[in-house]
Amino acid sequence: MSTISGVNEALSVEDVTKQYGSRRNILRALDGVSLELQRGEIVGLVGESGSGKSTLAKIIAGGTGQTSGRVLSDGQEIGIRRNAGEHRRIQMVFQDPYSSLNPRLTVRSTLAEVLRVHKIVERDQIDKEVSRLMGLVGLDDSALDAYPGQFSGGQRQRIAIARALAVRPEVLVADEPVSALDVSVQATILDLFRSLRSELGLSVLFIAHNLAVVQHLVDRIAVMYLGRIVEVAPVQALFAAPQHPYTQALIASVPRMRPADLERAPAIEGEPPSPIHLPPGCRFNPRCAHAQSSCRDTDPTLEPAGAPDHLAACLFAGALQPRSIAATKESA
Amino acid sequence: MSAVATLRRSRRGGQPASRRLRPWYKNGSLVAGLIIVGIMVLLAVLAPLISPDNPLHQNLDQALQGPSGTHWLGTDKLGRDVLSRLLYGARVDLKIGFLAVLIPFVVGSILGAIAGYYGGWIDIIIMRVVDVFYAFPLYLLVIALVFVLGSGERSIYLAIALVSWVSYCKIVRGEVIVARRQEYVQAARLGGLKNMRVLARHVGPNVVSQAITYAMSDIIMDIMVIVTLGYLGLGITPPTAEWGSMISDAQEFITTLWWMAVLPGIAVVITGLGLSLIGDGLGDLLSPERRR
Repeated sequence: MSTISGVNEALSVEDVTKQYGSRRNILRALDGVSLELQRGEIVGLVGESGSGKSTLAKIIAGGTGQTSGRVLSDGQEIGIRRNAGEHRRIQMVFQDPYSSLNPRLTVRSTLAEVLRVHKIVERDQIDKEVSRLMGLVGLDDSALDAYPGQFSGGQRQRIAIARALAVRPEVLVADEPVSALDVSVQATILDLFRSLRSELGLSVLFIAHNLAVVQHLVDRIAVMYLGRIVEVAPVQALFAAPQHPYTQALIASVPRMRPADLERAPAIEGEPPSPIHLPPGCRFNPRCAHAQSSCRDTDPTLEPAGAPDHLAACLFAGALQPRSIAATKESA
Repeated sequence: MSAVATLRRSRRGGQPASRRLRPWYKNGSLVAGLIIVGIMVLLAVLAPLISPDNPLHQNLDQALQGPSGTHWLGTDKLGRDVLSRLLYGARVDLKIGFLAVLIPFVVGSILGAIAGYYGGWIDIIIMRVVDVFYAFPLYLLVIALVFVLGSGERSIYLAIALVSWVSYCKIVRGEVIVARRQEYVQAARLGGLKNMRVLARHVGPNVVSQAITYAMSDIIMDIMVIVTLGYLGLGITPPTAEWGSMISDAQEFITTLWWMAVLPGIAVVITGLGLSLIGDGLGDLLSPERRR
């Protein structure tokens, strides 16, 4: 929350924007995003497709440059041109474990390569370190000399995580690491992230398009909508009292195993507007059930709302009861 | 139900699923191609030992004879043994075919990889040069170059190398552009690996198969070029035995002693067939999908 970067922040993103296109058609993939990650904290970043989650992940990991704003690791600004040491601090886990591993390298060479390049351990210790990494992600040493093609999706994702961990990063950016996996496998990978946090004190930015996935994993959740964070809160606060109508709709759309919920109408309608031609005022107003005329004039900023550390970018934050959607639907 | 349970168990465990890769020797076209080309190479290498006669030895008394006990495939118009010339011709044609592919393969692939990986102005410069070479018909350019450089083995190598690197460049560039977007390449870059290492270890091995497959058909092309040059009188200088010049020399007797022209032609076709089969088999064997 503080504007001065504290020592405890493993990563902080300050007012980052990313624009694509020429003067006529500017697409604002990110429009002033600020976020910080404390040491050992897992922050979930959720939002629908096109909200800018993956762009933010790429900028943080150094895969692409931002148009403006700063990314700080350990309080030091890091740009797009990073040296090996700066790359080492922030590692990324990709969405699709079927394309994120080089099909021509065995697991051992994949892991040993980064260990060698970054000189993480002495040369004669590489084998030992490789097995330690395998243990860390719950894979057997006997798998070391196999090729990625011989593994299942979940196993591949474990290998990808081991590769990211090999350089002993401080921050892991995981871009929808479970959305390409079977539901039964998703849970085991989520467990792995949980245990890595407690064993290594790793900070994780965990991206998902589904609140249910991150609910039991993360400490805080940031909700993105059209290139902006519209609500940030500790996970319990967010689920107990979501302040932004978009978050409320997202929570309402999480499927639950209760027959009563089947009657609930879709909580959110329509597609997000084009990020090239943003609506005036609040960018959610065309889809918002509570939109007033002021919503079409004023672009709300993230302001404290309700519980401590709870921020929301809605003019009526605090005034809109989370149950109001369900209540109006039920009375209708 | 039990199948589902087994599947789930195998996915959970730390052991890789035991899917065996099909070994190379079970690849039919590869094996057939290797056998054909192997026999051709063996015959070429052993030519000095197995040829019944010196291919340059003229005997005008016995010119233009049909197959017989002493000359199994007859003699040409200078009385030289056709079988011996065929065997020695293989040495020349195969050697030039393989060597003339090597330089363009290496140079073209490296330039294509650099163009595709870095993009931007490097890509523009390299590809405009490629376009210039592409604008001319292959044979025209080779013939013009050989004409300028003078006939002989070395200028044939040079002419083919100067012309055919562009194909490798184009093929590899396209493959690299696709591979560059793959997440494993991004992962390697974000892992802090240097560009050259990413190119050599992560991009290269996944794109080189296309170039290797193409090289096999390119050898055939090169042999065709040599044969054509020989036929046009721009190739290997006589009296060296070479398939192209043999065909060219034999054409005036095509109605009476047809085998003199047809036999070297068949040799070209068989070699081409073998190389095509190898290229086909290698394509299967080297594609990364095989390891998926």
